[in-house]
Amino acid sequence: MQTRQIARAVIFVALAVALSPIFIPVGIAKCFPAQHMINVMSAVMLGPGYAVTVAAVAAVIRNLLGLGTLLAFPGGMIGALLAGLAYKATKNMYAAAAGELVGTGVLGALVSVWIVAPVFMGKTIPLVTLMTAFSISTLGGTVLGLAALHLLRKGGLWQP
Amino acid sequence: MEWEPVPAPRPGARLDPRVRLFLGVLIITAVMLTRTRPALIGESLLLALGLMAFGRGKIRRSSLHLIWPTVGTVFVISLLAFGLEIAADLSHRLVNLFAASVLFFQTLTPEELAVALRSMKVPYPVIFMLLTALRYVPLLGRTLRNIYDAQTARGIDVRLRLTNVPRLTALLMPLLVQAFMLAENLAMAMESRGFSRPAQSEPQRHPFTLRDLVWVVLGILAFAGLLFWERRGP
Amino acid sequence: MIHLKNAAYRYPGRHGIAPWALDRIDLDVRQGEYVVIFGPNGSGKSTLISLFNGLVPHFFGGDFSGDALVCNRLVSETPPAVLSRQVAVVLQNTDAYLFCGTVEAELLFGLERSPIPAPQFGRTIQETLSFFGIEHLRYRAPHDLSGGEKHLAAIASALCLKPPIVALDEPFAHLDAPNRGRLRQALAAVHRSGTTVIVAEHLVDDFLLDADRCLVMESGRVTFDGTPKAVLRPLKETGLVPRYPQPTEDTFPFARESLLELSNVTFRRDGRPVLDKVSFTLKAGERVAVTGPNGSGKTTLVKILGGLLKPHHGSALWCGEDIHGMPPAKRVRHIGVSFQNPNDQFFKVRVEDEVWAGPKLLEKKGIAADRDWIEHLFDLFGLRPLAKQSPYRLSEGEKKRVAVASVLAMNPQVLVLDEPTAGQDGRFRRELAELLPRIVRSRGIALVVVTHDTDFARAVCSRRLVLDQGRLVEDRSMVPTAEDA
Ligand SMILES: Nc1ncnc2c1ncn2[C@@H]1O[C@H](COP(=O)(O)OP(=O)(O)OP(=O)(O)O)[C@@H](O)[C@H]1O
Ligand SMILES: Nc1ncnc2c1ncn2[C@@H]1O[C@H](COP(=O)(O)OP(=O)(O)OP(=O)(O)O)[C@@H](O)[C@H]1O
Ligand SMILES: [Mg+2]
Ligand SMILES: [Mg+2]
Repeated sequence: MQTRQIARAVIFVALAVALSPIFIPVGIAKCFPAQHMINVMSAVMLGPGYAVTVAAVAAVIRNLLGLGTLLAFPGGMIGALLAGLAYKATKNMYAAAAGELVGTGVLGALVSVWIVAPVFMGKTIPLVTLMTAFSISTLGGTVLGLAALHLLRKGGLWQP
Repeated sequence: MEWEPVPAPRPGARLDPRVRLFLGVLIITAVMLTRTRPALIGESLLLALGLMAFGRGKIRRSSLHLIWPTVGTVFVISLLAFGLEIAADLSHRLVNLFAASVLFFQTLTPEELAVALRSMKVPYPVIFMLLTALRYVPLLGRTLRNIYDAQTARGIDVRLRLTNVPRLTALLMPLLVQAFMLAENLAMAMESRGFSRPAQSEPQRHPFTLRDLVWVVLGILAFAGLLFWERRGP
Repeated sequence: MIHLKNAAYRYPGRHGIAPWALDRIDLDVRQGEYVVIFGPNGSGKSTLISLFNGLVPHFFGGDFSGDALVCNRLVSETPPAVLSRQVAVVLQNTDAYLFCGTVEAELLFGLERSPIPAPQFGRTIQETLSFFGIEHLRYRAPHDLSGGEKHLAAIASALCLKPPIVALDEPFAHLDAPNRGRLRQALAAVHRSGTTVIVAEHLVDDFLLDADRCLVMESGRVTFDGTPKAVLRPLKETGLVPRYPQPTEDTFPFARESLLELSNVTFRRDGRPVLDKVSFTLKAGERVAVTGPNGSGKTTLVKILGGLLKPHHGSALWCGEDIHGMPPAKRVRHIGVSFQNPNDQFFKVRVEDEVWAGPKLLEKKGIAADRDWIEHLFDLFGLRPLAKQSPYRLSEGEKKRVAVASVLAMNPQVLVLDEPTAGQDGRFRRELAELLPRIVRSRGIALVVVTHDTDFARAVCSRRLVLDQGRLVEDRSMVPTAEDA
C-alpha cells in the first residue's frame, strides 16, 4: 500500500535528520552514522526510488535547519541509489550494504572532491584523504543498518 | 476573510518562492563554475552583501560549526599537497560555496520551499515528506532522549563511546521499534484523514509580479556576465 | 447510520494463532447517538472503530466476514478514502494524527480534500476553532501543545469537515481533570449539534453522564449493550471498574530510616522554573503519590529522583549523597525508575533477557545479582508464561509488568513509577494496586507513584504530594479517616 510506504519514508527522513548530529568519536575522526544507516534500511525496505528521495529530502531539511552542508547531497543520495539498486537486483541485504559502501565511500567521495576542488580532478590523490571522513561514517552506518535490520527481523517487526 | 495559502506571502513583501529557488540554484552553480581569484573575490563581496541584506538574524550558528572543520581540512590537505597559494584559493572557493548555500537555504522557510515545489509540479508525496518529516524531527529527538533516560535509569551505559558500541542496540532497538509504530500510526492517520483523496481545491497561485521578473533577468545577466568576464580574463 | 451484522475480523498473519479480533458482532447505531465502548486491553475496541472508517479491512488486510454498512455503504467495498468523509476517526496517538506544521495547516489538510470551496476555508477554520475554544492555538505547532490541547486540535481538524459520525479512541487517557472537563464539554457540544459520537475508553468518568448508550466488549464480542446507568454493574462485575483493596496504614517492621532528601530543588527549562523550591524527605516503607495537572513538573521530578537531571538549585540527596553525582552502577541499586512508556526500554527479543539485562550488566561489574529475588519476580508479575516471547508483541498491560519487573530486578530501595496506569484496563490497575504495597511491605522499600488516577493513588499510597506549576502545594497523609469510610 502506497500510504504505508510514504509514511515509512517520512519517518526515515525524520530519523535521518534527528540523528544526524550524533557521532561516535573514533580517534581524532568522528563517525556520523545516521544517514548511512537510514540509506541501508530504506534501500532494503522501500526500494531505490524511495531511498533516493529519502536521502534527498533529508539533505534539504538538514540544509534548511543548518544541520548539514551541500556535501549532504552527494554524501547521501548516491549511496542510497546504489544500495537500493543492489538490493533490488539481488534481494540480499549484504549487497545493499556493499552498494552503500561503494556509493558513498567511493562515488560520493569523488563527487564531493569534484565539488570542493574541480581544478584538481586529475591529481586528487591527496584529497582522497577527504574520503576517509566519508568512509568512517559510511562504514559505521552500514554496520548499524545491518544490525538494525537483523534485530527488527528477530523481534518479529519486519520480514524481508 | 479570504483564504490564503500557508504561510501568507504578502505580495510585494518577499520575492516569489519560485524566483528565490531559481536564484539560489543560479548562485550556487555560479560559485561552482568559478575558478579564478578575481572572480572569487568578486563573489565573496557579493555574497557578503547578500548575507548582510537578507540573512540578518536568520543564519543559524550551528551551520558555522559544520563549515569550518571542512574548510580547515581542505586547507591543510591542499597546503601539504599543492602549496599555500592553491590551498588559499581552494578554501576561499569552498567558503564561497557554503556561504551561497547558507544564503539560499536559510533565508527560505520550509513552507515557501513547499509552495515553490508545488507550483513546479513536484509530486505531492515528496512535498508531503518534506513538511511532515520536519514535524517529526523534534518528536523523534525527544523519543531518543526518553530512551536514553530510561536505559540510564536502569544502569545501562549508552553514552556514545566506541567502547559502548555493542550496547548501542539498547538505544537503537527501542528507537526503531517506536519509529515503526509511529510510521504505522501515521499511515493510519493519513488514511483516516483522506490522504489518498486528491486535493480538490489547489491553493491560490500568486502571479509573478514585475519585480519577480526583474530579479530573474538580473540574476541571469549577472550569471552570464560573471562567466564571460572570467573566461575572457587571463 | 452504522449497521453491523455478524461482523467478524481477524488481523493478517494471525490465522490459527489468535482468536478473531472481532467475533460475530451485531450492532446498530442510530443517528445522533452518543455511544461509549468499554472493554479490557485487547478486547477489540480500536479494531471496531477502525472498521467504521474502513481501515479494517482495507488498510490492514486480513479476513473479514459478515455485513457492515456505514452511512448506507458496504464497508467491505468502500475504501477509507471515501468512508472517511462520513466517519471522522480520531486515533489514540495524537502525535501521529497531527502531522502538519501548525494547527491551521491541520484543518486545511482536510478542507483541501473536501468539497468545501476554497473561499470558505478561512471562515470554517475560524468557526471550528472558536467552537472548541482554541483560537489562540491557531498558529502553534502541534508538538508544542499539551496533551489536552493536542486532543482538542485533533478533534477540531476532524470536525471542521462536519462529518455525520465521529469516533474517538481513548481521548481521555492521558489528560488531567481540567482537560478532561474541557474535552467532555466539547464532545457534549458536538453531540448536541446532531453528530453521532462514539468513544472508546478505559476510564469511567463524568463524561458518561452525557452518553446515551454504553457497550462493553470482551475478546472481540459485545457482552453488554445498555444505558450508562446500567453499565456500572457489569463493569464492576467484570473488573473493568477496579475494586481496589482497602487502603492500608503504613506498617514498619523495619527501621524507618530516611532514604531520599530533597531540599529546595529548583529546575529550569528555557529560563522558566519547571520545579520551584521543592522539598521533601522519603522514608523507607513510605508510599507516596505525586499528582498535579499536565505540565506541572511531575516527570521532571521523577528524572531528578533518578539522577538523570541535576537541579539548578538546592540538593537531591540519597542518604546524604548527591544523586546525580553517584556512579550509575551504584545509583540503580538504590533507586529504580520506570518511565511512562515501556517501549523506551525494551531492546532484547525475549522477556526473560529483558528482565535480566540490568542485573547481568551489574554482574559484569562484580556486583552479584539476587537470583532468588529475580526468580520470585517472574512469579510475582506472572511473567513465567511470557518468558520466551518477544516484548514488543505483548499487550500494553504485559509490557508494563515486564518494565516494572526489570527495574525491580536490580533490587532498588526506592521504586519510582511514572504514570503506570495510563491506558491500562481496570484489571491490571487492580493487580498493580495489590502488588505494589505487598512489595513495599516485604522488601521495606519506598514507593513513589506519579498518577492522574485518584482512586488508584488512594488504594496504593499513604501520602500525597501535589505539584502545581512546579511548586509543591500539598504534602499530606492519605491514610483513610472516618469521613472517607
Ligand atoms: N495491527 C495489528 N496486527 C495484528 N494484531 C493486532 C493488530 N492490532 C491489534 N491486534 C490484536 O487484535 C486484538 C484487539 O486489539 P485492539 O487494539 O482492537 O484492542 P483494544 O480493545 O483497542 O485494546 P486497548 O485497550 O489496549 O487499546 C488484540 O488481541 C491485538 O493483539
Ligand atoms: N525536554 C523538554 N524540553 C523542554 N521543555 C520540557 C521538556 N520536558 C518537559 N518540558 C516542559 O516542562 C514542564 C513540565 O513538564 P513535565 O513533563 O515534568 O510535566 P508533567 O507534570 O509530567 O506533565 P504530564 O502530566 O503531562 O505528564 C512542561 O511545561 C513541559 O512543557
Ligand atoms: Mg485500543
Ligand atoms: Mg509526565
